[in-house]
Amino acid sequence: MTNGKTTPALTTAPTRRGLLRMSAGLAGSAVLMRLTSSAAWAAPSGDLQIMAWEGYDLVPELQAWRDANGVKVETTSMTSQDDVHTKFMAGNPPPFDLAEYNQAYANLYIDQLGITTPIDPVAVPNFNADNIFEQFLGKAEWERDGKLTGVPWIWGFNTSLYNAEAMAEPKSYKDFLAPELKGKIAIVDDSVTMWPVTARVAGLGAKYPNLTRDELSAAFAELAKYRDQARMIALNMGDVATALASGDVVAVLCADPAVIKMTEELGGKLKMAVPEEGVVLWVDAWFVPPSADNVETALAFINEALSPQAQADICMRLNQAPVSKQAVALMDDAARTRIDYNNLEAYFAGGLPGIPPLESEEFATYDDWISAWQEFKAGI
Amino acid sequence: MKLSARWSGWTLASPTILFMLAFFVFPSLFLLVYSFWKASSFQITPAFQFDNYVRALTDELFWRVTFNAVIIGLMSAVVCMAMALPVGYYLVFVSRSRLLEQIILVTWFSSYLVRIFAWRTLLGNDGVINTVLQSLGLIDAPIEALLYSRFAVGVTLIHLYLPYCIILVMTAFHEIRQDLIDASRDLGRSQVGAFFSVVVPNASAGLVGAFMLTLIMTMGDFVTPQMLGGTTGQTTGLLIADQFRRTGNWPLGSAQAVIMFLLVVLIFVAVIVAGRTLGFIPKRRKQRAV
Amino acid sequence: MILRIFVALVISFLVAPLLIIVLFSFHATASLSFPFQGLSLRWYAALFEDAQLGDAMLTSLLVALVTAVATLVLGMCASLAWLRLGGRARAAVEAVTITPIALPGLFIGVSLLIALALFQVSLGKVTIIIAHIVISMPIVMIAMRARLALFDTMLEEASRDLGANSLYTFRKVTLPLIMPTLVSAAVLTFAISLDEFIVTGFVSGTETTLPMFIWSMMRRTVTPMINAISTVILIATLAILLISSHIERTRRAQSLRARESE
Repeated sequence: MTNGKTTPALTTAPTRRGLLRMSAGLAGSAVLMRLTSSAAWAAPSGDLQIMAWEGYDLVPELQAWRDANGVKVETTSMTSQDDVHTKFMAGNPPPFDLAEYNQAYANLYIDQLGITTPIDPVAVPNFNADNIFEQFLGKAEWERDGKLTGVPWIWGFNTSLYNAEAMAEPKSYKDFLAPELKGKIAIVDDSVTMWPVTARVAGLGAKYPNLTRDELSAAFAELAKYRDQARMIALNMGDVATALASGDVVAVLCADPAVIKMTEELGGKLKMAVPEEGVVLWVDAWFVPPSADNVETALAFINEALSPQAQADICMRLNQAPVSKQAVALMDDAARTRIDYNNLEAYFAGGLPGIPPLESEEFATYDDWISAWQEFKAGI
Repeated sequence: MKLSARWSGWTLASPTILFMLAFFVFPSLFLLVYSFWKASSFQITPAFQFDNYVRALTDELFWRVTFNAVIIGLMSAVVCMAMALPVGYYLVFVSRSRLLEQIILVTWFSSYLVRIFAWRTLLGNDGVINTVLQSLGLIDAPIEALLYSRFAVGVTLIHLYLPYCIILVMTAFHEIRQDLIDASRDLGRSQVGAFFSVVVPNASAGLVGAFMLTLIMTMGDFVTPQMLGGTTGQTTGLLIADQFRRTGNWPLGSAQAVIMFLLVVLIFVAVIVAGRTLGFIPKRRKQRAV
Repeated sequence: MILRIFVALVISFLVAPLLIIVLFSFHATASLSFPFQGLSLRWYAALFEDAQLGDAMLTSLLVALVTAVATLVLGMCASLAWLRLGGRARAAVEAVTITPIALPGLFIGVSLLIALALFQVSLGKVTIIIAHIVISMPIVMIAMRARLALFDTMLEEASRDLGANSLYTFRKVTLPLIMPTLVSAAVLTFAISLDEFIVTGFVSGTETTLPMFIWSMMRRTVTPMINAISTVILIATLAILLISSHIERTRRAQSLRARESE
């Protein structure tokens, strides 16, 4: 134990955070110095440890880049955003060079936990106004004091997915409450997606993430009806895809459209529906944690992930949307027309969802939501 | 001579003892200490307070999932024992087939996760059981309750831990001398009579151990209920694991783990008392660990 | 007769799912449910093309090997010590080495996680190995204890009285007596380590073992590839078990012959 009796395993103690920040700052300036002092940027190489959603580690898209530079990427898959911060909060954070954060967690990661480090924009030249949609530039979710804390790289919306052969297109989440669907739907154990949905099914969507404790109870009471309809609370995307493909369930209340491709691979068919209560918008960003030991390669990886071709490829593969404007022209018709890229403001007009407050007298806190979600899963 | 034997004994034992102290005993103590620490929104501070225990014990959620875990564990362990006793008896006293023993070992060592998943293939709507029943004309529509239910969890847990249970039961039976059984047979007892009058009491310590170890495994397994339990997959194990992996409330998770441990001890005592009352465990016999 | 039928039923309950696993490893499509749509070796071909799987396999084999050797050495020392120690000391050795078997893997996993975090030990192969040793130690100790209960320290003493030094006594007297048990305990340990999943998940850091790889596959689409992996492991396990039981049998036959010729 380095600092005696007060070392907590989950560390947010100011001293330690300060230290981490300081060392991150030092690392950042070292990178900067190397950049300015010599034109020769050290070539990316070596092992890269990343933590990403399953399938989001760009394995096929960046194969040529990895081969050309001799980079080996080792991915640890995350099944929920919580996987990331619980790993980094421990006293022995694993040496990840890169990880992803959902925009809802920006304040928590940047300000409260201090697990992001400033990213040098010079090392990520693809992150520029010519390539990137303005919705992702200069936003508080990925910047602090003019410094990049994370690089948004892919976005999309989670929505209802259903087997068109087994049921009619759902126009509203309420359609899943039809008696004939009892025991035929799935709910995914993913709080980032399901918490906003919980507020919405109770008509409190506009207030999320700031619901009073009474409103929280009301919202989960409403969601309980959907649990009674559900056959399973799926662990993750693969889990729900397997159940959909085998016909054990015919729809999932709200999930990542990447599940469509997964289900098709297993011989199932799946369609996307947009319920009137709205979809759950998300933007994932790469960030470099303080424990990173191969920052140069990590930044090069981010830059490659933003190249128009890689953006187009992964978005077609996963049914998602690119942050790169130039990628749109490179996608096939189905992917290009899925979203109206000329009118992106419409998608972002309502703002991006955040997470409930960590501490609050007035509103239900993050802890309250976690308890409520656990109780929901246990059937209370 | 005596002194040197003891001295060399301790020298030989010390690496192992030190290793186990460092990586088993102390960590367990830290877990206990941790359960008294304080956690609030992503911050953990050393303290000595009982809040975590109060919170766990007064929480409906905790009792609900613990009840679920105990039910699942008890049912699976009881069925495992009911199957393992005859099989163990057969393998130790009747046949001594090496082949069957090997088969049991192989099933024990075939991949845990893949076996869990195989049961999805067996129990699903398109699964083997439903397909067979349907083609035989016994049912019209697939039985949905087979999968994503407590039944599915129970069957899978039994499949996962039965080999382990059989091996433990066999170990317990091996301690009984064959001549005891022969003597009892000579006295005119039937096979079943010999089993209950000679085998069970003489192997009772080992059998209680086998039951408890199986129970601990089935109760603590949080992957199977999660994968096959549908909406009934929440158990104490999963709740605790989630405190560490997802919620980040390590002190609460530690307190819940300590309570779960105490619960296991309580069940152990209950089994012993029940066994003595029912006469399966001879009284005043020194209990030996497995 | 009834007993025999019952045993047959239980064994078929144990084996049937394994047959399903093997059957679907040859499935022509990606689906893991019926109807069965023809045979193919594509999933076995896929095994050899997957670099991540190869890495996970190597990690697992390395971890299992080191675990088996380390547990073997530690377990052997402890059991020889057990032989030399008096009642209370024996109980102490047993308490620290055998108790882990009575705790759920989860308990061991989280307590190790806490300890490692407190001391800021970074997680990786070493911590996985440590965890696996803790889990396997009870099994080695239980097996050794059963064997050593039949062992007589007099043999060792007699050998030393005849002028042999302790190393010689160990090599020529003690080791041959406990060798078969050690080997089968090591095989058990290896198998346990290779398949361990619950504890590993807490202490693995960025490392991926084979079960962790299978788990991560389950997050995307589960294809018959996991069945192919499992079938390969099944065959390997069978081979190891057969070889070790063969060794044991030959040794037993040898010692019998040796005794007869005396």
